[in-house]
Amino acid sequence: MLLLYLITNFAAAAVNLINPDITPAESTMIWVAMNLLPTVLGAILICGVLAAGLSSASTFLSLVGFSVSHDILGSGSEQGAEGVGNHTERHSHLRAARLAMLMVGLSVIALALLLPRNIYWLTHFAGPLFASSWGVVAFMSIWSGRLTEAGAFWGMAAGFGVNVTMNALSLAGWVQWPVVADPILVGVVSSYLVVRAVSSLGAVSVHEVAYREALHTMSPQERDPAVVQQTLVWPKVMVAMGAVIAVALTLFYARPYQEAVASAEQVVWEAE
Amino acid sequence: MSGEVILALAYGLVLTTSGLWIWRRVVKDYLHHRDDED
Repeated sequence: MLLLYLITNFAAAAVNLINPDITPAESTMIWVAMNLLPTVLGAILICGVLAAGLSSASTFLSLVGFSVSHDILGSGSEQGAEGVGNHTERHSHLRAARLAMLMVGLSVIALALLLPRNIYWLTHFAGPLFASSWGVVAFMSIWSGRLTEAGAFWGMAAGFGVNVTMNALSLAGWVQWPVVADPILVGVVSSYLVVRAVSSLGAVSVHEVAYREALHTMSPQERDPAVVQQTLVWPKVMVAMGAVIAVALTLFYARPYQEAVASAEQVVWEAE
Repeated sequence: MSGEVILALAYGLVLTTSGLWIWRRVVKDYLHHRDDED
């Protein structure tokens, strides 16, 4: 991911030098694929962008369908997933899941057509919103033995509410939050405090304890030394990439940048 | 040392350190799992 961000950031800076007037700015990579790259590379890039979008969309739609059929309409227990319920009930859950996916899909299409094209800022708002509402619960549901169902629910609600409220106040121009009181930070802290407070009022059920412990049980296949050695290739690549990137950035970014700035300053001095 | 050089070295350092940490954790959690000692 660090390599990906490095490439996209430098690509953005380079494209900005070539054409600073691409509108909307979110379509920069599409513009690059159609105007700068050779046809084959451009087609591959656009296919990649499209594939990434379709992959995300299908994943999120599956999650919506599963949440509706399992968490909202179903019992939420593993028994429901194993199909213990009767035939008609399972069919109604399946229909509801499909309907939910259809409705969400149509809503997203409508929003995409109606809202102004501002993907960057939408993402900038949505990502931290998810982090501040789900982040604490996501970690604690695996690593904490004290998290209760009510604690998880109210923790998510608190993180979401605090983040949205702070952002709304900021957008309305009523408040300007300092950097240390960024909505994501305050949302995460609020979520954690509410999780702790509400969880302390209840008790974790035996079923929940058993389920969490089962998450920490490692299957023998995952400990196969041959498979682990294969996994270890990637951290080794990461270490090597770190060294290569540090040298490459110094040689191809830091030094040329310094030289360019120095020569520009010299031109200004000479002009004065 | 300029800010650009610090950025370049820090970027590489973060990647290298992260790789070393993941390497150590994979070995600790999957090769030398605590259940092996029990």
